[in-house]
Amino acid sequence: MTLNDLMGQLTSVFIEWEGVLKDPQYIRNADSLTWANAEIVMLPEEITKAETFELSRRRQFTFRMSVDDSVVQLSYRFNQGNITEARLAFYEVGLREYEDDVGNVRPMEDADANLPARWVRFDYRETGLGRVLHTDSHLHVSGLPGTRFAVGGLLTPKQFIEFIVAHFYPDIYENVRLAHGVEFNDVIDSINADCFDCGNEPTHLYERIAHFRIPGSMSQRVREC
Amino acid sequence: MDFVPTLPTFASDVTAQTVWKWFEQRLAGEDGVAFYKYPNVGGPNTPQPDLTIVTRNYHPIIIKCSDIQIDQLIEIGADSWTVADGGDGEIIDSPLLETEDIAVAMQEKFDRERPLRHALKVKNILALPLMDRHEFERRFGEQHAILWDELGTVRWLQRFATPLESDQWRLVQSVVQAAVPLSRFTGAHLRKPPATFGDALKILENNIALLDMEQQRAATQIPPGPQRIRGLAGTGKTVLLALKAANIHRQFPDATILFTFNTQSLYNQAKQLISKFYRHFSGVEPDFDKMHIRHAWGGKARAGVYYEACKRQGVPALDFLSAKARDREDPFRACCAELLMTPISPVYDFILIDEAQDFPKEFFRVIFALAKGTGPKSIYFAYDELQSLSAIEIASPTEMFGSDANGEPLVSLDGEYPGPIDKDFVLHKSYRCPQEILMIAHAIGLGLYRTRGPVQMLADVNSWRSIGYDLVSGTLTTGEQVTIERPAENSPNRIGEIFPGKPLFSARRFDDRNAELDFVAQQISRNINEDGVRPEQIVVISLDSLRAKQHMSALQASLWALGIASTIPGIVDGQAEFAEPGKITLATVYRAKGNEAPVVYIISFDSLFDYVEEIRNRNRAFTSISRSKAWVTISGIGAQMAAAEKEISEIRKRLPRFEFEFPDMGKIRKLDASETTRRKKEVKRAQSWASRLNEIDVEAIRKLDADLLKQLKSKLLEATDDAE
Repeated sequence: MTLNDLMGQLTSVFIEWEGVLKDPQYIRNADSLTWANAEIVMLPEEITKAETFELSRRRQFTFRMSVDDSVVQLSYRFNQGNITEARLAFYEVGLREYEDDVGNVRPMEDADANLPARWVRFDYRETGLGRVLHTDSHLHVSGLPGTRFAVGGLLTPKQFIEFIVAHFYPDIYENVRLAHGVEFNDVIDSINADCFDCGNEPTHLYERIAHFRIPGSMSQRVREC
Repeated sequence: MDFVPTLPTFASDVTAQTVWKWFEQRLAGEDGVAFYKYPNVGGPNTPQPDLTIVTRNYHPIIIKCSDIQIDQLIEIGADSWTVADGGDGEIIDSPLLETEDIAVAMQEKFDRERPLRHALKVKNILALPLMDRHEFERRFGEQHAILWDELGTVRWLQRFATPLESDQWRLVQSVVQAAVPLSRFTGAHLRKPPATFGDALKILENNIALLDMEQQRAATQIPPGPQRIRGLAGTGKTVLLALKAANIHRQFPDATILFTFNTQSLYNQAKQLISKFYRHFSGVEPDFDKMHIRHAWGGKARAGVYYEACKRQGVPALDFLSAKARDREDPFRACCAELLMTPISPVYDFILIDEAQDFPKEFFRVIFALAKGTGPKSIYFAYDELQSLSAIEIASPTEMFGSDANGEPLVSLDGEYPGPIDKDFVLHKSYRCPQEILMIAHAIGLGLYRTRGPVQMLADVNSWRSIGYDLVSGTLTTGEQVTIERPAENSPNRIGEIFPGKPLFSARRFDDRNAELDFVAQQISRNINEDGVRPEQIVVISLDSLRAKQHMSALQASLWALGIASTIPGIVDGQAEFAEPGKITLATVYRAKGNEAPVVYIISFDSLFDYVEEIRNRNRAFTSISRSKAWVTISGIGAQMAAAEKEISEIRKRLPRFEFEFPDMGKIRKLDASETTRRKKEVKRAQSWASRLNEIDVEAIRKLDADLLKQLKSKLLEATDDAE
């Protein structure tokens, strides 16, 4: 998958999730895909909604979720046409709307602001080192400081949004993907059709350790069978 | 020539009164204004003028008035005077130099403005109306810059004459009013007439900010008790209140001042305005230990009136969720009510409240308790009486602040303060919207030309007057034909004249929503690429709030495909995300509240005619249209949009007047919130009975009484016609 393919995928994912995603800000910057005015900061593992709200307020996102202003950050870096680095994150803001007749908006109250925010982040960096505890492709999740779950493969934007909506907004996912009349298998196969061919550690390692597997070429093989 | 006494002490300041009378007679008919005890310019040790006179045909004049008499004066030195004080002589700063100090400080303010440099020389005069000139000169020799008597004013004015150009005169006023920081005037000359709409907007923005007389009084006067400032959105209430706060802080640097408001995002705006205004005259930042800018509620993360009061009183503050559990409709009311159960210590010398119409009465009672003093308290509040067209009856001060143990109102706005200073101001001029736009907004909001008559109405002439309209003919009684007019001077926005090339208001109807949204996206693209409009000058508002997200997402996608970035402001701090550089703002009506933009698109305007939500939707339409500083385009689909177009064409035919049959106020009053509930029930009832009727055999229905059947048929036909 090339950088051009990736840009195209972002546009189609935005249109496909119309009403769920909003405020697209993705841009191409030389060999990278990032978002406008990106400030790349490593956030602490334990963060509150007040902090994730700041990300939303400072417009540090590729997209925002329409329902609660949670942020999606996608960045991919290429070198000579090959993917070398990626960082795909979701940070929950989760402040729900309250409006009365005159349009007062619920104040940013301590009750919400001090709650821990849920988040996930997929990191990818090609090293070829075959490290057991720090695989090239891995997943961080909120609530488990310092934990890196090994991941086989790298998510495309389509796959990442699919993952986020399914796990953080299951009601929306159910309505959109699992409703009566939707051929789930066809839809999901088309989402997985264009995928990255990277992020798999040497076979001998992934055959031995538990890891998350990103559907990709393997799915196609399953379908062909 | 106008006169503004900014402090009530003028009423007892006989010396200043005498001197002003001398000038008043000579300056009658002049274009200008004189102030008592204003402006307060220069550093902390710069004295204050007793009178300042700025006119179009004279250099600005600074006057100190002294009531010293000849027998009190012992000696005059270069820097000081010695005056008799009982047995001893007291040395005072030379009043001549003091007056000069003020003039020098004032001159510096004018010199900052390029067009005024070398054109103006601030003149300073020491007025000694109780002094015998001959005796004074015999004892102390001749002195310059002293005014002795009425005749002297003629001589001085002859020397001070200098006619100013129109732009110079506007700038002089703007500097004296401290309004100049609001101007974006760059001094650069723009092409006239403007080639594009974008150029026209630049001309509009580059206008020198100027306050009218109503606004000047509201901003500079510091009354010794409560004062209310009323006005529509766009009349400048927030700016005036911020200017007033800055002036109070200059005048009384040791006083504690509270500036509070309801909309969270107003915080930055208020702080910036107060700082700018304060710096304009003083050159330094306000002392924020004395000047408290606070959201009414607040929290651990940010200071607020309620939260801080709880902390001071040692009572736990309610958070949003617990407050909501106590009072679903107005959680803040629950907070204030609970706080009022404990004694509240007075903390503030002056309190200014913006957006007073948005607060529950309990908050005003908290405010009353927070204000120092036993007599009338200096609480000044800005009130938008037409924020919602249905709430046209303004709450009385007694309802807001309550009464004392004897049943006497704690706050009264009857009469006026010495000075005289008004207790109740009405700002008639609406600066934001052009006349046509504001009038369409009002007429749609009230439903003046709705087929079945208005849904809301201003019941008396004073209410109409307070929002800037005059009754031309007829009486406001049921069935009477009335003509109401909005004088052009009450809507000073002249964008229509600056750029007459395109109508300010337009309506478009489509067969389906996609076509409508495509049209809006294309129009926006044209605005940016051909009309020279910047993306941040465009706001799209969805009138249909239920489907707003859907419409806005679809529009965002269309705009993105055209290479145009947009933002849908988030849940909190929405206003901060308005007018973000390089982006169109797509907003719900709620988000749009309190904001303004030169170019406004209102989509799904067909939802104006919702049976259940009609009044609310008309209020939303009013709010949406009245966000615009220039252009409004409304769009919608189907028969309901056709009806909206028809209504608008009826409105436009008569502008700048409204001619209509005055409705029955009894019927109008019934169309309130309870009517919405009733209509909701009616819809449910209709659905239930219709489905049951549908199940009945046609033959059985045929057996109905002929009249009943006829009525039923006609009702169904009427309903079907409407729907079509």
